[in-house]
Amino acid sequence: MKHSLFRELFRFALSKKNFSQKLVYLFKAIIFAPLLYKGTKRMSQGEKAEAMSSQVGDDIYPLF
Amino acid sequence: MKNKSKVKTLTLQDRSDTSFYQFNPVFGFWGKPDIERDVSFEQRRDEVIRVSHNAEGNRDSPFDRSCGKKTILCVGGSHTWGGGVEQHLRYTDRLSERSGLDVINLGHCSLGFDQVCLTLLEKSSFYSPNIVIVEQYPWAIHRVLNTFVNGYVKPHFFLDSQQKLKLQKVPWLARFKIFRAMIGAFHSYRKEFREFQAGINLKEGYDPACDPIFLYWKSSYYDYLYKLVDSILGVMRDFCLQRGIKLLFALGVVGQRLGPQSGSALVDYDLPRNRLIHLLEKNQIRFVDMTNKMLLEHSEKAPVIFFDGHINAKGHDIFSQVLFDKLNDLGWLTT
Repeated sequence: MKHSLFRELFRFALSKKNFSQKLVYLFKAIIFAPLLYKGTKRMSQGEKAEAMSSQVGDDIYPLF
Repeated sequence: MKNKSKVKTLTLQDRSDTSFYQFNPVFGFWGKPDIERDVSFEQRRDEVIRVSHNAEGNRDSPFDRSCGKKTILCVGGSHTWGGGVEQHLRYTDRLSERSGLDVINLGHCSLGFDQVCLTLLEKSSFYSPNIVIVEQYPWAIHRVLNTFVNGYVKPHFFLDSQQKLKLQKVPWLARFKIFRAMIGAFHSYRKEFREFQAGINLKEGYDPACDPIFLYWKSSYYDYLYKLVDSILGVMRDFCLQRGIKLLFALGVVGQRLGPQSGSALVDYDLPRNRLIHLLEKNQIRFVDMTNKMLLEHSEKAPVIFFDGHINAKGHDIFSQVLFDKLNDLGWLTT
């Protein structure tokens, strides 16, 4: 899981057109990978894509 | 208006412009209250239009609770706010003239469908409307997946593992610009990465005529979006039912629909509109679709939209007429 995420992030960075963009996206990949990994791990435990955020959401119905 | 002395001419670069907006802990962003500017909109560069927000931060006349009339609350995006048009020519003002009712405009630029739902939940007790009209530009439904817009972190909904709708509120730190930028950088990166995984690239060589939301072979990427919209619609319907508020959706016409045909059966400009209509019918929510009337009235010499898809004064007039007719048909203006 961890390896495939990093491979994807690397592929994402390399897909950028110019060298400086590739560098910027590689840097972003390093910075954001732990947060994304946390989200992916949670997803693999059964939660859906939007629950990737590290915080737990509130039920909407108690609002009214 | 408190800031009258600060009136100056601005050139609004449309969606990216935030001159009229500020951080809001509930909605992510909301209109600045008591602001007045002369604006040269991107759609009408040679003309200057006076734009002002009332004390509640809405582009509307001051709210008068004591008028005692039946109230219609209109919530929506920049079409409702009136991008590129004078305030008195917007569909809300024209509808007020036609019906003689009090029509309140809560439109805001770049407002997502999730924020529209929150506006209904949070603001309806203040305005006590009899009717709520939700203006939705079908293409803009994708904003439900955007968690960072124009420099602001948005509240957003998601479905948990039991497919229950949850609300992710605006983080407390997002009130500070520097943290907004940091949180936003992550949100933007995450969104772009997910799109990359789905073979979508909105950053390089974006062509509005081939926006992925119109492409059949990308539609599976948006399945989650429509599931989310389905749940949000359920919340809005239940909320209005509980409070005896009549709810009507007004679907605008997608700008691409009024231009040249797509040239491929796999590129369908009606795709988001049709999926939205399906969900509205499923949730038994009444709606009015502007497409046919707009197509009928649109011509090259007298268009109903600006080049960027926003409705112009003629479009607003048609919008208000169609709404008025629908409200009349439903008998909501009299009962």
